[in-house]
Amino acid sequence: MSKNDSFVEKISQQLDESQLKSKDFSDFCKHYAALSAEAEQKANVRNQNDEGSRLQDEIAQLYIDKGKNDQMLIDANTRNLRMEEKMEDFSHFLKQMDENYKKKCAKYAQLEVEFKRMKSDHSDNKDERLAFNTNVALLRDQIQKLEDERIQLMNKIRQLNEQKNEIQNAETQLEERRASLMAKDRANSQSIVRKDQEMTKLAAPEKEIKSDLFLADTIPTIKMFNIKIDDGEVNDVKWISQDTFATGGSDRCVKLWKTTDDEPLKLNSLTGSSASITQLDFDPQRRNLLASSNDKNLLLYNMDLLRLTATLSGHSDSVTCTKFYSTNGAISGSADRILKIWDLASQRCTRSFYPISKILDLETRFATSPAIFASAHHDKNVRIWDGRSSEPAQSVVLGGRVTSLFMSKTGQEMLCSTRDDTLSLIDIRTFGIVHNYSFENYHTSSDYSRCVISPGGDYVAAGGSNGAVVIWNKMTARIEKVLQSESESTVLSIAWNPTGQGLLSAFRQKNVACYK
Amino acid sequence: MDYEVCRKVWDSQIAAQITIQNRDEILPFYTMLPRFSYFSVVLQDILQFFTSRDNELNLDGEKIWLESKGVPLKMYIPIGVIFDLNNEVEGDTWHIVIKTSNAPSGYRTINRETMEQIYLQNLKEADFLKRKAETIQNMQIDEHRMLWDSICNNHFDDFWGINKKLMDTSDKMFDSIPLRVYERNRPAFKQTLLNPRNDSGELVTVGHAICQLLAISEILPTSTLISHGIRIPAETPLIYAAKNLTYPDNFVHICVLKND
Amino acid sequence: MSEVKKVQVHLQAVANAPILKHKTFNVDSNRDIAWFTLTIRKIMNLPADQNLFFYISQTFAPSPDHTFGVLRDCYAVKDCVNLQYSTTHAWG
Repeated sequence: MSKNDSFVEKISQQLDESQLKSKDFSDFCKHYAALSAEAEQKANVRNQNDEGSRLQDEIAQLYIDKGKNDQMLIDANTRNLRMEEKMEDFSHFLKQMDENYKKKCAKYAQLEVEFKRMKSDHSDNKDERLAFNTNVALLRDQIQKLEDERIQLMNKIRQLNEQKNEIQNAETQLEERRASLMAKDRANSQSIVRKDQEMTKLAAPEKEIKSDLFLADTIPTIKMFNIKIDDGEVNDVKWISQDTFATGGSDRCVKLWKTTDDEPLKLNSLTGSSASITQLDFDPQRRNLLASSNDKNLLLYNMDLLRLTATLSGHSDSVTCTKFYSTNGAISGSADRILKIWDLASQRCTRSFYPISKILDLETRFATSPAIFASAHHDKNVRIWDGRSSEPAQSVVLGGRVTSLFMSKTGQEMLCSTRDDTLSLIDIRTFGIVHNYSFENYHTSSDYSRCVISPGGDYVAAGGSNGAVVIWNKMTARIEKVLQSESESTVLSIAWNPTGQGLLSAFRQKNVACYK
Repeated sequence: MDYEVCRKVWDSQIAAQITIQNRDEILPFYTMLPRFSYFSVVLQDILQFFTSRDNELNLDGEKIWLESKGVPLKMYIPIGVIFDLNNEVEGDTWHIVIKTSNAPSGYRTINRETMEQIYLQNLKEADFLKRKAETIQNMQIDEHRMLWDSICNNHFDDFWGINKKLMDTSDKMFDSIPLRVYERNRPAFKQTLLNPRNDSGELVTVGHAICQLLAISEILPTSTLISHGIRIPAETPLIYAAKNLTYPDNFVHICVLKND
Repeated sequence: MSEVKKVQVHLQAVANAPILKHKTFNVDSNRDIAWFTLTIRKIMNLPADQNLFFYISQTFAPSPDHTFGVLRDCYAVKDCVNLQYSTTHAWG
């Protein structure tokens, strides 16, 4: 307390006094405790003196007891000795155990150290694993991101493709309109020109008759000749006129030949392709030749000048087949599953079709409409298209991959060759199968094996994998003739002479044979 | 805290002579009893003293009871309070008899463990009066235990190390002062809610507080206020008493003696 | 004199203490907790080995010497002394 109050003083003083008083008594207490302890001790000593004599008696008794005890001691000693021996054995055993124990301890320490090391290794591995896991998670995220981007890009590509198609189709329509306008013009001008031509016709003699002179279908029986083409397989052979024909194959050029009485004469080689020629076609006037090539291009040759007039490119895989189509047009099919219609005047693709399967052959020359064409597909379908619509008008399913289509001269029946070793004749008005042609020794040679109907429409023919050319009667489907070749090389293509007399067959191994 | 006063209060003792009922042949035991302590605490040592002197003496700590001058001594009241209430002359030796006969009805022999419980309850009541028992309930059980152990082992510093928390008024003044007033020949103490300051903000003195408690106008000059064996000046502020003159149970125990 | 007065006491059971029929008692102000404990034990018929504790404000157990006059003066709420009772130690 800051102010030394009187009450504090009073209290403090009284406490001191009482303490002083109690101090005397507390001293007394201590002394008293000491005295009482001493008294206790003394009392104990007095008790002991009284008992002295009694103790002597007890001693005598004790001596007797001692004697007994001595004897017991001796016994005990001997027992002791025995026990000691046992003890020694035991201690020896103990020592051994001790050694064992020490060894175990050492081993244990070693194991401990090893365990520690493994523990640290384990923790290291754990850390690494964790780091790795985080890395994996990171990479997974990146993959996810890339995947998302990819999907976006794919979608964009698809959209762009659709746009492209729309634009192309629009272009085609414009082109058609332009063409119709031009046609009108041409019609106007033609009426004038025709008059001029009639005038000139009267004036000048006929230059050359390009139309085929049909005599009659005869079944060929004799081999006329067998020529060797320089290089590899001959994919297609076509008659140009009654005595000239063209071949195309892996020699990368179209060769023109003229038949003579003995060996045929090579007229010309049309080059321009950088890969095998797959199919040939002529326009009805035999002025132009189309060749499809494995170099993804379509080649157009002028037969008057014997020169390459155009290379039509646009396919992304080998062009497997091509045909002239309507006026001044061509159509091509490719392994890239796209059909393209080309305007030969402008040398541009006017329209694309997207069937879902690889195209193996094409046929135009439909009697019903010049705009109609057919395509043979790897998925066993023959699809019939109208050039003005993008979806197939009709499809006919056959028993195997359709390797070839051939339209009869009348334009009303189409022969199809399929890989199930049969030929089928389709009525193009009903698209029903009229006849099937097969033979035990006939096996379809390849995916591009060609078949033909004779110019007179009496026979159908196809070349088999054993080198034989089989001729069936079209109406009865009976075998008429099997033309066996000695080479037994696979027949890839055949062509019937427009006169009806003479059949060319092209082999896989550098050969072209002619039968009459 | 007034260290000097607290220390002296803690150290004050009572001289006592202790005998056993009907065993005059056994020499009495003389000792100094600490005023702040309880019979339940000191009895163990006393009994041990007797049994060590006489092995045949069989004293059951749970059955014996205490008496002085024909008055049973309550074990759960601090020793100093019992003495002040029952003895006229301070400084006299206190004659205490350990009785082995049946205890009077209502008498409770209390062992050390039960005493610890009672002590804690008193402590709580004091803190409840001072500040709704907030301080004591915030203390840890260990601290309660240490308070009791320092009483049993007479460790002043340990006790005050913890007790000062209960006495702290630096944040908030006590609501009311735990004061119990005893009168001779009356069985019960008096206790009420006493503010440390009166309505006009002055510190209330012990004298005023007792007048209020006993419902009297003034303390007669013949009366004395006794605590810890000393006369407490009536002008002592109540708050000073509450902080420095309390027993370990945090109560100020004052006996009002009328000297006729 | 104030000592003749009765003090109203209200009891609340705590934990698993037996429930009393009458919870409110009027007790002489000079009666103490020791007496009250004995009385309630008799009312509840508690066996001798079972404890009975009273608590005030759910905080502390009053000393056996506490008279109800003092309890009323110090701890009554609206002139009523509320006591919690339990057969086990309830609050510390």
